[in-house]
Amino acid sequence: MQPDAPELTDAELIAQVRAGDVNAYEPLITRHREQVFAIVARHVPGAQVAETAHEAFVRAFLSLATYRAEKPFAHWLARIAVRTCYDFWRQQKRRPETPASGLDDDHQEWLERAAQGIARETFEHETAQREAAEVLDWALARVSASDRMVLTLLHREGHSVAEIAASLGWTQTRVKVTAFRARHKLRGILAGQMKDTR
Amino acid sequence: MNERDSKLDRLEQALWQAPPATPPATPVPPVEVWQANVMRAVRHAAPEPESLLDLPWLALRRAAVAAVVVATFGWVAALVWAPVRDSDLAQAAWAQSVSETWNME
Repeated sequence: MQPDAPELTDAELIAQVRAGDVNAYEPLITRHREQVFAIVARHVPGAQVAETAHEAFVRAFLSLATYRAEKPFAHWLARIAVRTCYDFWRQQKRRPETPASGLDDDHQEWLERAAQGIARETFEHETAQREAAEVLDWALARVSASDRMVLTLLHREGHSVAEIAASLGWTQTRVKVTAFRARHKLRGILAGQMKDTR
Repeated sequence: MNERDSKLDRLEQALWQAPPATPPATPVPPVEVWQANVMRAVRHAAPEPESLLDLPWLALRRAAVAAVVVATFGWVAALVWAPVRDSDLAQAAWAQSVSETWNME
């Protein structure tokens, strides 16, 4: 790694990369990898984080010609990271092994308690937190890649419709329609697991 | 709102409020190894400088191929169109001769 590289701005490093100095990309990776890992880790399983982050940085490199310096490089890179996660789930959905099993007893119990409104207090406990995250992952595994991304960005990460539209390269209308339908699907999936709502 | 919807609302709220699973603090491989792999992939994906010099020749070659394709298409189209055109001319000539015949009468 070049010792003086961190003193250069992102824009200067990008200019060097565009001029043909591929090594100038390495300080950009060093500077932004934590951000990319944090984004990717919120969307893909832990074992796939490193590979997906790798893919995001390679894609960013290949798309550097389209980067416009008016916006910060970090924002542009974040969008590429989100789209890479979306493509990860699209590829996963193309594979035939869609999980068909229901929730196990522990998760079923958590679901019933949450539906009764007594789960929030138990979030203090690590086990309950883990079970909630697992139930959510289980439910999200049963919706499409686009539904999953929109639900996660909107409800879990609290992004606005405009931000999600910008991240995924969609129109705001598409985001709203997808969010509405995805929520309806998710409620149907959850209802199918609740004993007295089937 | 019925009881079922209320339950689903509570359940949804609980799910989205649940803290996400703790992300790994560092990449699964050591970060240096991971970064070296990314840079290797980037170098592999980067265009060779020599290939940039080839770009004008590449553009010329593409233009030449496009010209050959267009010329071939035009020649084939002319071959197909010729009988039709001739047929039209023949019909026109026949119609003119008929007209002249009637006028003569």
